[in-house]
Amino acid sequence: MAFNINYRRLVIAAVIIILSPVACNNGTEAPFPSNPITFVVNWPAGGGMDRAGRLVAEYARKRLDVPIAVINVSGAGGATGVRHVAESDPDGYTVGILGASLVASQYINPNANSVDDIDIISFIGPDPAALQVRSDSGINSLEDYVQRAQSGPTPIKNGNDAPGGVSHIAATLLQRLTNIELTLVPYRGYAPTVAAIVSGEVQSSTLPVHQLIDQHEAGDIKILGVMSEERHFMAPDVLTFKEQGIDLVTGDWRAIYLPNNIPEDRHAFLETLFFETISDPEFQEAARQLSFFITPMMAEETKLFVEDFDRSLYPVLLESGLVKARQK
Amino acid sequence: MSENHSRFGPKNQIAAGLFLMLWSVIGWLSLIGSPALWVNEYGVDPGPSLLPIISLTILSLGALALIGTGALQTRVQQHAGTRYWAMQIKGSLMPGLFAISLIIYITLIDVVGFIPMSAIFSITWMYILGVKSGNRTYSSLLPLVAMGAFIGVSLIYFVFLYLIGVPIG
Amino acid sequence: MITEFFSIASAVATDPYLLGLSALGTILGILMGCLPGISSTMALAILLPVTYAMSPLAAMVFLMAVFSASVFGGSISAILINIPGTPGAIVTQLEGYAMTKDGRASEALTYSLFSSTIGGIVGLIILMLVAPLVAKAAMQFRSPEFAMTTVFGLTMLAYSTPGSTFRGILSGVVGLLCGMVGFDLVTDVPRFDFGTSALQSGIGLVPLTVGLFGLAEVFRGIEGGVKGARKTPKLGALMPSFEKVRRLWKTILRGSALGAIIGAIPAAGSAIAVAVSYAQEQRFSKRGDKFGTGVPEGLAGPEAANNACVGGALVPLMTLGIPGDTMTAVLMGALLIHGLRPGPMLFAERPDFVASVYVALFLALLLTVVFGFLLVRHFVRLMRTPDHILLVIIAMLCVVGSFAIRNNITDVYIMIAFGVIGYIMNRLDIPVAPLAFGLILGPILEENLRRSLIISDGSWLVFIERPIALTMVVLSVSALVFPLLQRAKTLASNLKR
Repeated sequence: MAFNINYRRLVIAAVIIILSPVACNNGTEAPFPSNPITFVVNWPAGGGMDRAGRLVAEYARKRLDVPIAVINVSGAGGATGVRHVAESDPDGYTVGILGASLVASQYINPNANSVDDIDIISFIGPDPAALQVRSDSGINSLEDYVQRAQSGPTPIKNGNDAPGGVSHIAATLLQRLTNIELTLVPYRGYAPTVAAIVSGEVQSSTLPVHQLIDQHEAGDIKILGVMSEERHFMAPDVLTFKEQGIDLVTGDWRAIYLPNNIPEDRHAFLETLFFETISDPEFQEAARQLSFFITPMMAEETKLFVEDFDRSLYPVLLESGLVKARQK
Repeated sequence: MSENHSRFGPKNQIAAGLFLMLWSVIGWLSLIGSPALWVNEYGVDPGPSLLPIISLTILSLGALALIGTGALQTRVQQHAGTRYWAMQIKGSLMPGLFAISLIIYITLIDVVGFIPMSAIFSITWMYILGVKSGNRTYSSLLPLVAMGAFIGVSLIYFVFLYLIGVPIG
Repeated sequence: MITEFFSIASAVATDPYLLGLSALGTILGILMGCLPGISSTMALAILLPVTYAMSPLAAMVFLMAVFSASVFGGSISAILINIPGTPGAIVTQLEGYAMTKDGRASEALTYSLFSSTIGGIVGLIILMLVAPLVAKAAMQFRSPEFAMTTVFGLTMLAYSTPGSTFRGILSGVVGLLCGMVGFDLVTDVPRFDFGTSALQSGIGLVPLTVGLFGLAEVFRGIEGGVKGARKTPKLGALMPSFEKVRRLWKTILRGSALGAIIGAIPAAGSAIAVAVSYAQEQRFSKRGDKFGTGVPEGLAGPEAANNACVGGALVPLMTLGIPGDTMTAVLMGALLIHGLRPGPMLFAERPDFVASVYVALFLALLLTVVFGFLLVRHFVRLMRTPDHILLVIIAMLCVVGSFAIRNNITDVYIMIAFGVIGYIMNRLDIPVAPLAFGLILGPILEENLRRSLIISDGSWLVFIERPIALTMVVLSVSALVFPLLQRAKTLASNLKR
């Protein structure tokens, strides 16, 4: 027989492992949370959303007696993970992190959940978009850029996401607010866009600040402006668009959410838990190291923010012909 | 395509051609059924239907060529590959059943739970295949199957569900 | 790169966790490689999900160990029971099994292990020398170059399946179509989704490869009449006799060089490399006429070529993001899951990661020798595990592994679908490997082609105005026309007669 005596120990070990979760679960009503919490990241492991999610989960874990298991449920531009949370049991044991893609995909993708299908409980922070140009383009300011775009011999080529992606939205908003016409060149994600502007295939890009910060410091790329309320801590010398007279605030952001209909007390517990986690200076320092902007907000404020974002986004999507699922 | 004459029988040519033709028919149907792909408003971008059309054309022509060669060969060598179709279907019976039971297995994992469902699935199939292999008596098969199923299921449980935390079942 | 190599190497060498992972990967790799019915590609595909939770460095250490060790494992079953564990071992059995029948099984394994290791090291050295140069050249690559390089890769599909070129191309086209499923990059229009959200995010590389190379083989095993316990020959001690090995030096080096070069051609793969090496050794050897009766040269050359392919195949994968064979195609899936997109930027931005691949491969080669010599007899005992147990466990691994990619049940259905498709294609003698290449190359081609046209303002001239793109166009055209010309020539001479 192929299976000889050596396997006996392995088998005993396996029995113990299989039986252990059964043994622990003896059904008495304990205060929430008494079981492990599942934390759903709606993008693949290794990306920005994943790193942010894992960091939040790690620090939230320190305030709890139960473990938090981070899982990645990705697909359909982030919509699959949101559906996973929205359809989970409303017992407070499933929490998720999401970003701006939620707002865009509810219009683009007929199968995506809308903002109303979930309950956003706290805001982590924005990841503002910025406008970068190659230094050899001779463009030195936002004003130069707009002028070149309006009167240059050929349109400026801008590297961005596929339609509906954050950097595509930023580029479209930029066109609308400054009355310029760019050639929007689509790339699959941030890394290829970075490669494109570094290699000179495109002249400008609308990526988040940290993507090109090294090249900005080296002088190959110039960041003309940040599309946020305040300047970015990684590039304090770069003016915001508002400071340069253009009211453009956009980019990605990250927030924590639950399925709808969570019992009142658990909802309050989780809202406080994550707000305190994100406000924790130790967490904020760790987040800065990973180049995340942290501006904690409670549920009420976050909802207003998302509504506001929704309102500014809708006309852009409508104009790009991307509103295919729900009308407003 | 002359190279195919020697290697593949005529029925095989036709079967392969039909298989590939099925793909292209499904592809064409889906393409025609998506009006958004035919809107020509993309400017300098050749649009999302260019490559599908090129690929489907190559595939359809290629599939036709295979069927055609097969048909020609059949006329030359009348008796080649008799009972071919029956053999194909008979041979795929067990794998087909296995595929169907896999689908049942993954649907029931959600209801029954991973460990019991995997135990049922693995013991059943290890036993059936063991009987099919035929060089063991029925009674001597049982301990082997039990051991195999136990090691297999606990190994998968340990690595995927316990270590990695895959939320299945 | 050199400093990174040594700093990563010392980090890995002093980290018991990484060393342990590499050892585990090596053992699992040899084990799975030598189990009949589990190819290297399949071993990688079903062990890939285990690495999801690891750091990219740890994942690479583990997967490279599985990759390199399973190639050697495949030779064990080819030599001992005349079943090639991997496609690269198809000629290994010709001489290897002949030697086993002769009672020289241990000798054959020794030759195999020795030449595999040398081949692997030569492949690694070539990878380390050539990859940075290719990556540097590829830094000049923009969308038109990528588009045309992909076209070249697609034309090489014609050569990837000797004997059924035409069907190989059609299978590649099916792969292209599978790659188009989901939202289009440029316009965000869904294609081939049949109205279901399940297909909108496209067909993933990992579920497809697990289905095609994992589950499809299970189906084939079930159909092919399940075998019970098999007998394996008794083995003596494995000891390289230096006298015998010295006579094989040239053979091994020739095989290694050939393997590394052929491995580096996109889509060509180890099956071709070993076939060419075998034919070449037969020509060079004084005992060429005795090939097939257990001539060491006929074993050592292809074995070296087979393992040198590992390094070679990594060159286009890491520098261009185009895999050299099906194993590297699965590795590409692994890199993407860890957020690393292979390509020239990888060399510029993550030299530490590139170095870690080298270190991982080197460590894997080293450990394969160690475990090969020490444990081969125990591995051989496991080869007696009956098929009906093994096949069912593999099927469950495919299910759980494909689910674990994104924790998405759709991927399991896609995996099963491609298991069935792969099985049907095997039955109908349509090669499946081109399908996987098509799936990878299709999106790269389409994206870069259309982007080039957007940038060039719609002018197709962009593909011949740029020197590298033009070179690729010329290469592709000649790759397609050359066999046609040859065939026309033979046809003409036939007609004359």
